[in-house]
Amino acid sequence: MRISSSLVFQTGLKTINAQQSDLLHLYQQIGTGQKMVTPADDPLGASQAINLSQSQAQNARYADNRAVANQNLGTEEDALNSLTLLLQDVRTRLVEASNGTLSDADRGTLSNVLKNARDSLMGIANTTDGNGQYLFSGSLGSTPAYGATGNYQGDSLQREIQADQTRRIAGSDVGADIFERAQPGTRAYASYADGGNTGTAVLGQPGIKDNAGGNASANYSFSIVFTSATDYEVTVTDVTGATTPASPITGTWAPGQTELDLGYGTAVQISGTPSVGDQFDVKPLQHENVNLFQTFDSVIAALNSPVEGDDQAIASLRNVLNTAMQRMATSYDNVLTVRASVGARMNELTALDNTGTQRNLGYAKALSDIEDLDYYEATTQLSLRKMALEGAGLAFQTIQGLSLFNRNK
Amino acid sequence: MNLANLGKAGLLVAQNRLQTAGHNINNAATAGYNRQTVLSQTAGATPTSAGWIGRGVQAVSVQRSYDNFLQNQLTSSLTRGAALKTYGDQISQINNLVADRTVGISPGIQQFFDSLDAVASAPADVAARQELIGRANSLAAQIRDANAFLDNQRINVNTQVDTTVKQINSYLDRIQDLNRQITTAKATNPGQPPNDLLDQRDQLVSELGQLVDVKAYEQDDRVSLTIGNGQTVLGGDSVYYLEVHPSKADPARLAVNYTTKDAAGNTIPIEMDDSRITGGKLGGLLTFRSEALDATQNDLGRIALGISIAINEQHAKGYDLSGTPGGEFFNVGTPKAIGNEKNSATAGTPATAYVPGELSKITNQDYRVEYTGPGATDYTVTRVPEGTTVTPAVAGTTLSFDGVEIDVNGMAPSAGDSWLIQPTRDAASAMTVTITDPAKFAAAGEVSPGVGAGTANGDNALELAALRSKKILANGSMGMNEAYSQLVNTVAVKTQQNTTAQKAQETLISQNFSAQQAVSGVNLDEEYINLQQYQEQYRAAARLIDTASTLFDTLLALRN
Repeated sequence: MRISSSLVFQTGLKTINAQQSDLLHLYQQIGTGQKMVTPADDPLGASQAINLSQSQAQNARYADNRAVANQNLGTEEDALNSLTLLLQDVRTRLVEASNGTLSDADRGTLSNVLKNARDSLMGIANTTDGNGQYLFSGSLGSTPAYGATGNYQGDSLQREIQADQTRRIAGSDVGADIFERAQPGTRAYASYADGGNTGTAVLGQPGIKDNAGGNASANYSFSIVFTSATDYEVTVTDVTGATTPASPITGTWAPGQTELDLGYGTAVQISGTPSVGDQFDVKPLQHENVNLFQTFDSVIAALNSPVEGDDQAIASLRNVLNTAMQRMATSYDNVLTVRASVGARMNELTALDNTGTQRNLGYAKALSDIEDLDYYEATTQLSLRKMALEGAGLAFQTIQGLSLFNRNK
Repeated sequence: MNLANLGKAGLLVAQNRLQTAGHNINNAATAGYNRQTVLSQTAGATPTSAGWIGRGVQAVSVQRSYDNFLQNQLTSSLTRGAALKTYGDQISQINNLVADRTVGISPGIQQFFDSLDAVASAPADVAARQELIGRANSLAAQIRDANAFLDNQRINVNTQVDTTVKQINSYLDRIQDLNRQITTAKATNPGQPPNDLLDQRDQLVSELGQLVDVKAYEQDDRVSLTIGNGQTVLGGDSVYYLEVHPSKADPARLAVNYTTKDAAGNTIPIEMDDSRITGGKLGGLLTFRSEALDATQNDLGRIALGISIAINEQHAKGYDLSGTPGGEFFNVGTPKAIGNEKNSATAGTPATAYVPGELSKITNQDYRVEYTGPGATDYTVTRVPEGTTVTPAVAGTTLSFDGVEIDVNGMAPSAGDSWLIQPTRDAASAMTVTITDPAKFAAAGEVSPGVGAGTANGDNALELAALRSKKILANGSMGMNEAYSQLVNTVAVKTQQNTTAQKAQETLISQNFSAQQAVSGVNLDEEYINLQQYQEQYRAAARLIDTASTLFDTLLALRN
């Protein structure tokens, strides 16, 4: 085939250009450490890298969210710890107060102690987090959870934090659930004596004696009225309204009998002597608003009243103290339950943290596989290309010097 | 006695040959030069009784080694090569814009949603809210910047189309000039081809071919040129210049027009569709604009719309720090509607809007809406450039299709009037953040209809943050980041395809070039050998004259 001189030069130029541009691409790859200098080098890899970087960023953000949740739960845990210690101390005091040998002055002192305890309780209930937001007031962060009278001022909305792609964890608890709730699922009862009672009957621990009696789920509330010195009438209502139990139930009590049968397998301890017309209530705690402040207030008020020498007053005081102890028992159990749930949440956050770290490693590796340059391969290619470029240049020099005009000067 | 004449003829022919070889050597590097050879034949013979005595040599013509087929093949492969190169130059700019995934829109999206999560975890923290607004502004700025880049490219393409058309017109003038010169040359020297003029004209046609794909027809020594579907640009002795005017359907693009003359001799420009020109630099520019630039800008607009509309819709469901329902977070424009210049005077333009709740139906296409009549809502809707028709849902005077609705109330169009609806073209430039006060961000959820939760509640912010991975675009198949990665992928694939095609085309051009050069190219070594040969011939012919002179001297010397 006939070769023209310009073809020789053109071909030489093209080959040198081609080698140079390949070499330049290699330089760019090595200089940036990236396999893909532009997305055109690997279109699929480029879009995969963008998608992976979103997953990686999301994962990192969830870790930050979990840190915030941990911090909030830590603050709550501290508050609940103080609360537990407080309640333990108060329960001891209540037992002390039931001691019949105390004088009115002693009870007055005790009342002051309990007043201080109530103030501490208020302080715990109105704990704030690092931002000045009240921890236990639901979604109303700028309102204190409890007012001075012990009423709950927040709402019931949880403060949720996105801890993982599909998991939202509450970073705090609603005040009503800590300070006003009985232990979830409890079947315990509390006994109440009416303030206008004239007898000296003191009600003790109520409870379900016979689960087969029909009150197995502890939904029945009992209202007792003494119709005579030995007869009493019990009005039974289903607090949930689901059933209508047969009511009223009558019973007899013999003086000296320590247990009062309320029907439906439920009974209550009794001591002392009731008068005719005395009223008592035995209510299931799980359906009650067991407001700790009200419990405190009732005890403080009772301890401040003089009862020395007055049998009826003493009986009334004992009833109030018994009611308070029953309520505080379930409040205490409730606080422990909340603490357990806080602990469980913090455990879950730790587990999620571990998973998150693993996932991050996975994403980093996948991204590195797509993007990072294999230096060994690149430097080998570099030597190869340099050689090719030198070869092309040398070949061109050789050929273009072969012209007859050059030879026969 | 004829010997001297023989010598003279030989000398002259040798001179011609040497001259031509010298011409070849001088023009070895001239673009478009076809090597020339002297065509010589014997000068006949004189009949004698002793046989036919030859009369020597005569130079008949100078011919150029030219193969029409090879030349056309080379030109057409150069045309395609120029188109690919221009397309590649343009699209690699977009390719470089999205090259680094650690800067730009993707990290902007991630940081924006990170800040939403931060507010959801601490809704009452004003610092977190301020950061959110900062990040939102930053994201909107990134998107606007990318769009501005594409807008600049659009202006650049327009400028280049204008310049290229001017260049084409000047080539047309020069080719017409050469047509005339060749005709004159042939008249002055009939029977002999004016090789150098022909070479120049062929070279001009080839260079013009690199600007636009032309078809050349030779007739009566004149070359006629047509482009596109057969629109004449050079015919007979008249040039029909190309013109550039804003397109009738969309004034933002400059379209190429071919011209015809009406009865009075005035030039009338007629718009050519972008798809009619596919070769040369002009073809590359037009293909880039309609295939890559429009699609990329629409894709970017769709991402901007996705973010803006999805965030706005969820934001409206929440309540801010003062308990007021959330307002607009991002500013969202309306779909662009452009009436065709040819529309009747009373046609009017429809009011456009995005259909609430139909974000995922929005596509990256433009729409051509044409009034067919006779009813007030009888319009046909076609997707551009896909070409498929869509049946709009009609409700009163509102037609809705693909997440866009147009209201034709108050319009009085005639049959054939059309509008171009661009739902996503300008969406990216319209994206700004409306909220400036951190307290107005609606992080809290709803407690009961119309009543918001307190300041420590971040339920709405949680839902907003969850939009990051929600598939809100393209009929529920893509999230925002995925839409962006798809944009990058599309640009990268187009660039890669173009690069591969360019490499293949370069190989083809090389092969065609060597085939053409094999016939037409000058080989300096060959010319050197020719020079030696013709020099010898010259010397030999000179010797003939010398011999004739010696013979004559011998005759004269007979007297003595």
